[in-house]
Amino acid sequence: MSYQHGATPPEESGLTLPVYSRRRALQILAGALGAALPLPEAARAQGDGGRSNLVLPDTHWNASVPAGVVPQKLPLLRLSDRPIVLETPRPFFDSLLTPNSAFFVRYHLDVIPNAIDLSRWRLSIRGHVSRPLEFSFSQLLSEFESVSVVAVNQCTGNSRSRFFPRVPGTQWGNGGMGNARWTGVRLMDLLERAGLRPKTMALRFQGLDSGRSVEGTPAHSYAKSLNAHDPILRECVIAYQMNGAPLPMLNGFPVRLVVPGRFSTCWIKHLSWIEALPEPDRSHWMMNAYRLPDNPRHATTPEEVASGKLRTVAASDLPMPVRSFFVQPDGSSKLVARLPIELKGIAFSGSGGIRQVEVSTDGGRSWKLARLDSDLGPYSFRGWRLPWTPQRPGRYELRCRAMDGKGNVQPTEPIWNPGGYAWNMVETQTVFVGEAA
Amino acid sequence: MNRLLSCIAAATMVFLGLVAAPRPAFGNADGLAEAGVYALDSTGLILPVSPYPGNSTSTYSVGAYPLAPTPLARGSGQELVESYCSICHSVTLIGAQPRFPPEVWKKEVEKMIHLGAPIPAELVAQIVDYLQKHYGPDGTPPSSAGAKSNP
Ligand code: HEC
Repeated sequence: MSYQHGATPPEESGLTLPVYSRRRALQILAGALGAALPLPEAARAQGDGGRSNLVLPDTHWNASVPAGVVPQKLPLLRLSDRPIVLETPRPFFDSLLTPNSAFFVRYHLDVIPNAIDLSRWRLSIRGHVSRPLEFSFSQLLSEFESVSVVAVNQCTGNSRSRFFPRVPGTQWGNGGMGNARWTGVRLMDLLERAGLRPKTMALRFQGLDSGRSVEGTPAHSYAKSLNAHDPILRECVIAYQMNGAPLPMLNGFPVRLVVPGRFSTCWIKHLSWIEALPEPDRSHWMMNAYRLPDNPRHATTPEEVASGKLRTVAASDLPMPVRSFFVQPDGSSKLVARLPIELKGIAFSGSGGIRQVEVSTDGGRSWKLARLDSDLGPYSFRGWRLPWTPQRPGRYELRCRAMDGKGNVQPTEPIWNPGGYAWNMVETQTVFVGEAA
Repeated sequence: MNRLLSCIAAATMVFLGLVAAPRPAFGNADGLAEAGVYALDSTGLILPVSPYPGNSTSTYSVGAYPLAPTPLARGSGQELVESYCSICHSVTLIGAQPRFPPEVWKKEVEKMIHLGAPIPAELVAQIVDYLQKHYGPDGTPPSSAGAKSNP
């Protein structure tokens, strides 16, 4: 790991901006704003005698941050304005396919495309291949078979705000995920044309977004690699359509890599360069970031991390663990005793789809099987529902627990890891039931 | 690399942008017509124009992205943090974190330096000091921190 860049003063670092004008700009920004934007309220204390003012998501579901409006999007929960990070509010999960205008957004770096000229844009395949190739957007449309897959795109750090002790990173509630029908060309069809040379180890994907940091530093560019022998490559789609429409700019226009069943970290947006590597990718974004503890629950402790003995594995090499969520009821209003309702939600997994979802209305003492909605494929959200009539007024703890196609079941205990990754504990929804009189 | 931060004082519009695309990883044209352009959105709502952008060229544009900066807590070290911690992202990210203990803030600053933050070694302690004082477990609560700033 090199820390050399840190020693370079800003004047010599390749930034053309004097620090002064940047500071001045911020003063102007702050002055023009007049007043501070509302900040997340400190929502709940954390079991330490109520002294802590750590911010937790309000009703345990979304991050409690103000909404923001950006191009092509409805108001979404703004976790960061630059780079843009937006969380999808819970009601949008009522639909199995998340609307494009409500689909979450996550960038690491802030030089995000505002405009792309398709007459100049090319997708290129280079490096350890027999025939380096470039494809225009119309070639992708006309020269390759078009295929579709419904797949969940979920940030590795989705639900990070639940980790305790709290960990740095985007403090997502549960809305760092979405489900869409992705249409495009098979990655393998492009690779076959280019011809991977023997001993290719990895495929590195990079898009048009970049950062204002000096070239060569991790904050200058974001690229991710998949192992060249990973069977997931056969399922990857280079998508030019999302739910039957062009991709919104902030979801990766003109094309993004879709890696079904895997976390978003490798679903490169504005995909423009595919490079075959004869050696493993040892960059920051593969070796330092997005590493999961190498055990089935991806769990560790601060002590084990401090000991330096923790073995980790790249998140992009593993399927997403099974999860399930309540969409209704969401706790935003009281239910009425003896008035029937439908408990409904979604579930998904990177390992063979959803086999079953169980629901408890008594805090996990007893469980009932929910009915599963129609199957949009193993990588999609699976809708589930269960009729329920609360008989008595009071407070109820609803829980949902999914089992995936490989028999994995969601854990009932929290996990911890320093990246705040791969949270999949059983969700609890508290609801109050009122008197009917 | 040609970069420009232009402040347009007129009204409340402030642009933060690049006049030219960043150098693509593999040379040659990449179709990036405009990138990294932000505009201060003082209303919290840059109204979408429809249909946008109202032409049929091969360039697909969405316009500037809105900036909604949250001011930092006032205190010694604030200017350092404003200049060094706003290069790659807005300082909003700082207040958006939980109240970390000093050792976590120290690791965060080290992480930023590893990512490319050009912070001279002799300034690290001052920056960490400011962060733990205002964004640590005993710091000013975020809401009043916002109200007290604005130079
Ligand atoms: C060279 C560019 C750069 C500079 C300068 C920089 N950061 Fe960052 N910062 C990043 C990147 C890139 C991320 C996203 C990291 C990730 O997602 O893993 C980030 C994320 C963060 C986060 C969110 C938590 C996290 O770890 O992801 C905080 C807080 C933060 N930075 C604070 C700071 C502070 C404080 C400074 C000044 C001391 C600073 N940054 C300067 C690049 C930079």
